[in-house]
Amino acid sequence: MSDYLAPLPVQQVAAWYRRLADSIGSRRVADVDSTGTTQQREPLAAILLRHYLENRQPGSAFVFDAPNYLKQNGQVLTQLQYQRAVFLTEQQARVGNRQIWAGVLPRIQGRSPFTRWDLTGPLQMNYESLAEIGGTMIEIARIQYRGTDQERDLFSALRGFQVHSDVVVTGQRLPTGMVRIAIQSWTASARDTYDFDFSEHLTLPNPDFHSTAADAVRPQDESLTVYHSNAQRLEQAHLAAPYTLASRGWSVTDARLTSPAQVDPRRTL
Amino acid sequence: MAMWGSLVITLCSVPCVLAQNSVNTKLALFDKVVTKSLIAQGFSGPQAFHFRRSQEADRRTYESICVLPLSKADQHYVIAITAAPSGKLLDAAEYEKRRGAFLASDTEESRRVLDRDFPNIGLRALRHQGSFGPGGASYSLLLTTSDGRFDIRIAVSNLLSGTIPDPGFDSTKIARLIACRYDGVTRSPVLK
Repeated sequence: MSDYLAPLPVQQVAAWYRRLADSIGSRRVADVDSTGTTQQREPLAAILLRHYLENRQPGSAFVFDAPNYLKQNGQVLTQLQYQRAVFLTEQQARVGNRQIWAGVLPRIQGRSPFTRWDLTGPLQMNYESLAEIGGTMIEIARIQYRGTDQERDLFSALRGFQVHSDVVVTGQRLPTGMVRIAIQSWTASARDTYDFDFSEHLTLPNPDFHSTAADAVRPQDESLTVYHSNAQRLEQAHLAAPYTLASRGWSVTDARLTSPAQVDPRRTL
Repeated sequence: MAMWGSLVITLCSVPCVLAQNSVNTKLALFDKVVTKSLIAQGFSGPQAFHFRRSQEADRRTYESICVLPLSKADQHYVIAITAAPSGKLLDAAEYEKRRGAFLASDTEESRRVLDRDFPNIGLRALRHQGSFGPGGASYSLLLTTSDGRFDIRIAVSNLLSGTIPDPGFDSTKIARLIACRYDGVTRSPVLK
């Protein structure tokens, strides 16, 4: 497949990418909140692509409102469940290539490198782990035939991203010798870097199909193969820039995640 | 009492099971329509791919995963074709509302969108421009068969390394072939 964007002036390429963002954004995605109210919102894929084209500072931060379909996505909830287990020292934390015990127990026991927690005041902890939308070929296929528009939006826009959590917990020693842990607050957010692998390409519907505009790109072609080397051209011409993204934090209130738990302070780690 | 309750539940569930079996039997008709050889016609050239069909609830799916020398775990080229009773994949009222809005505005741009997003395939067809980002691109074409009984969704998702040629799957061509082959199968007195 030819790279039809490659010979075009970079300004024309940037304009084509903007029309692509508009084309993706023209179709709204239903977003249902916890009260059951539905809002039609612009897909995340369009918002993030548009910001990429407007950004002039590589590495700058972009903060956005997380749609409910991101907060309630199964992969995100799976990570939050895992993080609860890490905070309660029920599962080991993945730190780089290592797995270590973290959370409340090594702090109660005063194990290095953690600062001892004597339970007299609240304890703040944070942790992040990777959520992958479409992590395997089977999962990608499932998203295409069984997934929702919302899931497909997350798949293209983010794919893999960090779910970051900040929690505040309190502890109370029980007569049984166990310690009761209550989660006082839990704020989560999605974090990622928006950038393209310049060695990759993909094919998608051409937003200029049947366009009569003077700067239309291959209006005779229903679809177009887009080489990400064109994104590199945009960045070199300062017409786009990669950035870090972070959703505004949301409160985790699901009782399955925030319910109190008991830990045994004598447990050997 | 518990036995009567159980009997009532059993009797009530029988029509549901029969209805589900009936839907499954009807959807199995698409095994004659969406075949591996039909999918192969959608590519721009010879292309190896794994083909698998499955049934979940009221949907029958035909999944094609291209065999390519992928260099990263996130690279893929997947085609998923789904058949379901009409109304399950393409909402006729929503389709008419959207199409009506473009028809009413009667501008050059609206005519272009009508031509691009509402192709003349089956009873009705709708193209979704899809999504694009670092994770790849995905897009789909929905259609309702000419007799109004079934919806079909053709979805493509892809992201490849620059050294791998694009398999060039033509979803519009396949949609037309499916619509045509479906009409042939359902009008055949032997296969009906």
